[in-house]
Amino acid sequence: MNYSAIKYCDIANGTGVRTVLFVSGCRNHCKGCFQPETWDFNHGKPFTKEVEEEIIKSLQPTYIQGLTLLGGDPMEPENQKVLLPFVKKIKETCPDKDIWAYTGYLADKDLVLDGKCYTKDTTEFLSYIDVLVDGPYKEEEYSIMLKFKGSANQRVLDCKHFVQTGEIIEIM
Amino acid sequence: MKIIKRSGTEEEFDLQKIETAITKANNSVVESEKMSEEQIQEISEHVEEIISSMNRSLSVEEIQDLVENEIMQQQAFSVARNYITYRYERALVRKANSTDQQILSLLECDNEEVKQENSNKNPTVNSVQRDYMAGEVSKDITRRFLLPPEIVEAHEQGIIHFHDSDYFAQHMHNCCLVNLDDMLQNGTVISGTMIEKPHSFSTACNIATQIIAQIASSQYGGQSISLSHLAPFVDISRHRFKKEVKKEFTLAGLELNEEQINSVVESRVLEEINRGVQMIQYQVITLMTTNGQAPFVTVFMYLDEVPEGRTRDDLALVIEEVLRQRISGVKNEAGVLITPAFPKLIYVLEEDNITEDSKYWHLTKLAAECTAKRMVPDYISKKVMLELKEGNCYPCMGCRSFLNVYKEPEGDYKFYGRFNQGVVTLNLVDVACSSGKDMDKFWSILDERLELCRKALMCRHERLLGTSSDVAPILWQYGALARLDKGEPIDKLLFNGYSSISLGYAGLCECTYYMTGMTHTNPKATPFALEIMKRLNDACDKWKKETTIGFSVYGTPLESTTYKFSKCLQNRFGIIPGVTDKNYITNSYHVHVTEQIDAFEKLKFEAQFQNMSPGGAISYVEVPNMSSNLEAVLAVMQYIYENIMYAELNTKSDYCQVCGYDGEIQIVTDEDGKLVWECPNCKNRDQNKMNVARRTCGYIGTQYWNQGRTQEIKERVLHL
Repeated sequence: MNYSAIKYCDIANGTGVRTVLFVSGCRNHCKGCFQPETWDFNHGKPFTKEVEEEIIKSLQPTYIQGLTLLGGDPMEPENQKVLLPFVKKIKETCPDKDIWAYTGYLADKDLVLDGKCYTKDTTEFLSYIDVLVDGPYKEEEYSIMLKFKGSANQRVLDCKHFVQTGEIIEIM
Repeated sequence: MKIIKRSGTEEEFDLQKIETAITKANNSVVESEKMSEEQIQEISEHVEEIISSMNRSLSVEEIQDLVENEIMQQQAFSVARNYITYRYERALVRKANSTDQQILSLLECDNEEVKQENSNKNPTVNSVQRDYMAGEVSKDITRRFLLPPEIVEAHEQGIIHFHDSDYFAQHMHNCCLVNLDDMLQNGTVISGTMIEKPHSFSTACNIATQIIAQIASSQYGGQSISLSHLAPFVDISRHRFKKEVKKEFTLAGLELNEEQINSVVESRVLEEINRGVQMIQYQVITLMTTNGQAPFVTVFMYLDEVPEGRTRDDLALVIEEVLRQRISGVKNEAGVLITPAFPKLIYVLEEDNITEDSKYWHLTKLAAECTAKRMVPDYISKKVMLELKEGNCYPCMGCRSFLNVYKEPEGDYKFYGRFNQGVVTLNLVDVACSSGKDMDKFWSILDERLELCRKALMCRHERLLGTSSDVAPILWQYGALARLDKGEPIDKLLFNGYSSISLGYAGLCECTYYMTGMTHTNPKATPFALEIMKRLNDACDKWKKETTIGFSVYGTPLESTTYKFSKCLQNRFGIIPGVTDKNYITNSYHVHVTEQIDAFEKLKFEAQFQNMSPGGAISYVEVPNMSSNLEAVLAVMQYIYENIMYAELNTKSDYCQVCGYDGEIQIVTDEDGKLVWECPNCKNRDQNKMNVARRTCGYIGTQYWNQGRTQEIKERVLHL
């Protein structure tokens, strides 16, 4: 997996102050995407052990609430595969940090059995994620006034609850 | 060989200048009394000889005395007379009245300088114009009569800034901590009328605003009051309500138990608090003092300042109401709720309110919401302040001036009722540029400039010396600052560190960059910047020891002086990249507005400099609209509590009246290259249909800014 950028001390992609990882590769190709260059799975630099360490280090201060996975799309199957052990490690080493993820896919359609992005990793991967913002970006529903999402159709979900019950609960 | 100019700066001695001056005087006398070329040369050479034989640099005046003597030695008395007349005329020009044009342009509203000076004053309003006219006269008198020429010249050249010369003609001080507690508990006198201890919270609030108004007209700087001094009156109201409620129900023939009565009483108490708090808010922003503006007042919110129990819980209720009312805002002329500039609010972070499980966490959460929406409160960390101030925690005077710790002869610490005598700011960038990167020279110029500052500060002090308590009875006789007798001079309050006097400094960032090629955040350059701070503190300590006057180092908020300094620097040294290439220089120890650094790193870095600005300073972090991420605001506040004494968040919560957008209105460049404000949601550019609030100095500005300041605002890097 490649990644295009890491943003430290970000406050726009999830509650609190966060580290944000932009992974590369997305097949959604939403019209009006704010960074189409990250659609390419080969964009950016390889996601190495050193990068992982760097991110984990950045999560250590008490003022950092957690990590946000952005893209690209972290729910693309090949990205899930790399990210699963990474988020697992984070939950083990820094249990008090929360994890947000943004995907253009739909949790209850594409990330469930027989869904477009469902793999053997998906359920476990989602179990480590606290909040999932899902749904494609729709330019016509864009508003600057939305909280933690770009277009009104997107949903900010309680991911833990979804994994346990299959139920969709929007928390904002 | 060097000479000292009137400004106190050194310049290379130029023999030609002496020859030219003598030749001019010589040419204006009749042929028979003229000196020969040889005589002129003899005079100038002799003068040069004397100068070089001295072990010090001579001043311009001293050299002119030498020249006079030499001309007379040559028996050329007419030439000498002309030379003396010329000197005298030049001195007259320097002292000439130049206010007429200033005042006329002011009255016709085309005085640019005045228009840009203070974003809280509207120069088209009659009462403001009166204040400005007085200001022009004061500046003129200050320049021509009250200050020694070397201070005036250094001020005009931007080597130092002699603040508030528009008030210097009068015997006025700068800012203060109001001893509201004493005034309310023991009574006071306002405009000749006795005011006794109030019998309710709302009356106490009413009296407090009267006091604020009076004080604001008797000094030129900011003032602070503490809600702790108002909180005890909540219980006085409560007792009254209890009596009333019992009486009312008895009259109505209703029998209520104690619990029922108390619940009625408590609801009246809350209404009373609401009324009192609203009175302070509205009176303060609608008042116009004789300074032509709303009073610069800060309200201090510190739970631990009152005893635990009833009073502290009442104080918590008052704080909660202040925050709630500020969050809702104040209606502007169009009826839109906007961010008021005053009073400024300070909230103390302490062990009782800083963690989720602490008793007053709900207030801290409310404070975070208020900061996100209205840019205030600013935050004081009790934890850090106790370490820096001998175990004390107290407010600054107005926006950032802090008093030194002071103990009364009886041994008690005292803060309320103390004040600041005034400020003179040293332009550190000029010291650097004058040294031409030579380190030894840098330190010796710094020492010279510090001497100049001391002289200027002593002028401030001496202007207050001998002032009668009669000039401002509310301050000096009726408790705001003291209870002196009528006609008693205020002198004893000017010594023994009772009041402070501030050595301000500006441009540590650019100064360090010029000398080391690195900004002061670079670990290799930080020690140099800290060494400068140490020099400033050493100088203040030395002066304090010698005079007992409370000299202290102060991170000046600069305001419009930032342009003056940058203009002067460009005139004196040209454009030097990273040093003099902006229309502003950086305040105090602050990290440059364009430097990439995150909020936490910035606060941590700046904390070490704040420790070395005991006379006052504030750090800020520039952040986007955070209304939807209060968790992040709280994270910054908790970090402040652990790391830095006094800091603020520059949030953005603007409002577009066209589309209702509630977030950050942006600065864009229009077709003509001019910077304009634009709503990112509906692209509205009509400034009259949007509300923008930005912190541009110590206080919030809600008028718009000139292009230079707008440029600076646009260039601010976000720290989150």
